[in-house]
Amino acid sequence: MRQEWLRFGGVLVVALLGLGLFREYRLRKEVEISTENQYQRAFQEVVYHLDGLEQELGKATAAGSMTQTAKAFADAWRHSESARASIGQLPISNVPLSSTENFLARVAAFTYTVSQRSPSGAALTDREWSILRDLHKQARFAADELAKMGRAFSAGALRWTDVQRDVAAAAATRPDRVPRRTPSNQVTKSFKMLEDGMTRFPSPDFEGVIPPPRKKLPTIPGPEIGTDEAVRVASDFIGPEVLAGRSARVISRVPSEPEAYRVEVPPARGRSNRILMDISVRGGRVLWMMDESPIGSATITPFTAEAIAAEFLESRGFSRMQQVSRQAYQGVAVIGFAYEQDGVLVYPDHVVVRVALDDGRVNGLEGTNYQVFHRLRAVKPPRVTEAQARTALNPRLDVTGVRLAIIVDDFYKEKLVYEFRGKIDGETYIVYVNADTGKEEEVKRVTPTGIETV
Amino acid sequence: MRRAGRAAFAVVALVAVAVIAWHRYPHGLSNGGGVRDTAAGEATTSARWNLAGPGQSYSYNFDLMARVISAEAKGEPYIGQVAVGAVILNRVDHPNFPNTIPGVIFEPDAFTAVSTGHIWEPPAASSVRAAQDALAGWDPTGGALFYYNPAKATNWWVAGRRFITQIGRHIFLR
Repeated sequence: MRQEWLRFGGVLVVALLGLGLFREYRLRKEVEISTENQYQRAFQEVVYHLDGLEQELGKATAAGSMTQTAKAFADAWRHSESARASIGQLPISNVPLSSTENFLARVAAFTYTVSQRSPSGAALTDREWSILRDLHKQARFAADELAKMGRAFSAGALRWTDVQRDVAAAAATRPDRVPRRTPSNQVTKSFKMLEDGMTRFPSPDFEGVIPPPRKKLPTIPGPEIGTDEAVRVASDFIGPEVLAGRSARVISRVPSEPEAYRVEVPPARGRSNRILMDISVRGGRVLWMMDESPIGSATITPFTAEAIAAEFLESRGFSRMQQVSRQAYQGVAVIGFAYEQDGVLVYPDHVVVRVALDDGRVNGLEGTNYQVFHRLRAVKPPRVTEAQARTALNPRLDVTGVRLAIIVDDFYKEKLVYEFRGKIDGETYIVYVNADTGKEEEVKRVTPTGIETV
Repeated sequence: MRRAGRAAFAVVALVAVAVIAWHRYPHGLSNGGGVRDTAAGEATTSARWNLAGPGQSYSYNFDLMARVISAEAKGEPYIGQVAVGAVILNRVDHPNFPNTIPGVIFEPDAFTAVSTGHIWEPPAASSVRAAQDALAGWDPTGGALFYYNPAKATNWWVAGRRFITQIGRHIFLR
């Protein structure tokens, strides 16, 4: 009797274990297949979009009219952006693809910028056409390489999930210890070849043709300051009340743009109210400040915070600032200001002030834009009258206000514009009309908390 | 005989528990469902802050950013949390990275917390604020594109990248 029970129990245990194992196996298989399919899709899309990009750029080299060029460029732009997105999904973090990615980003910027031109306008200049031809050659190389990869991977029954496992394992070991014969090897080698080839192509000169890929900020005028001066600037800015006996010190020199001294005000004993700020090495300006004090429950309203922020700016030498945005989140109000000169709102000279809603203290400031762009400008009177500018607007827009402003475009060129504020379907929009040409430059949506700024 | 019966039952029960526990292994599908629920819940809460200003195009992604910040830098000083958010945004702006926040965050092996699934734990309140601060323009990293914790990571890839600054336990590089 007893033995029978034991046998029964044993059989049951084995059966359950087997069932459990089988279910686990099936589940894993399902997950793996769906992961595999996602990787396959990403790879196949890279192949497809590179092929499409090559074709569209080719068509554009042959097109005679701006209409056809713009058509091809609109498609090329879509292909290049999609290819970028798909490449980013492949599990090949072990292969740097900077040249390939850079190429795609540049093609996207170039084709987008040109396709924005008026379709009835002039065809490509000689310089633009030669850039296009260079890009097309590069696209052909990349498309060929990827097509080759597609054939090889498919013939070798390559599984991307194996690649992913290998790459993850390799990342955990030293590079010289990575085993040679692994499924990822073929993939790594092929993508390295693509990248090497892309690196060898000379990069066309895009200066002035596409917006600079990285912000090129103007340098702040003034001499280099020393660390003592940086500490003095920081202490004055924070003020004795907040310092409360603590002393600021320079903790490092940060190679940011612009270069800065990082100043720290250590936390008071038993508290976590450290303050960090960056003071520009050239000119000794406050680029940003942030106070780490924890924030309690709100006792003041965001409206009071606006007044506090405005007063703070005035007391710290930012004069004639106009509020342009506000937002409140997680116990703080963050308020944006722009400089006003001769009745013209200067958006590039932009400062953001953060006010704690528990005690109404200013606990953060971001003024890099203001500090690098701000200067006394020679604002010329607009060439187009307000009435003329209005004719550029959508007649359905119910205009509620207008003022002059300076905005910067993608090339960091400043433009004098009429800023029309208007309503459509209960939503507020801002429309910038160029005050020199009368052309509509930009449309922005206004949220209840402010507008999107530079 | 009754003792033997109880023993057999105990063994069966134990195995059953083990099998069930095994199935809750983090890579199981059942957990994935839970993940999506939490994400949806968080998104509704964040809808109120969607109105929050500059860079409104990012508004639906700051919750995702907050999760990465929380999972990657929960124990870091507050500014170190803002810094992680700034690195994500610096990558979005850089030609060598995907140009959306989710694209940057879900790039394979880009963030440890994504690979391990820790980002699906509810974010700390400070991380939500840190994500917003990064979106509002603060960048304590001086334009960094990478960071690592030298105590934790085996980071031979650091070679060739430029050191910018250290905040808390993280080293930021370009």
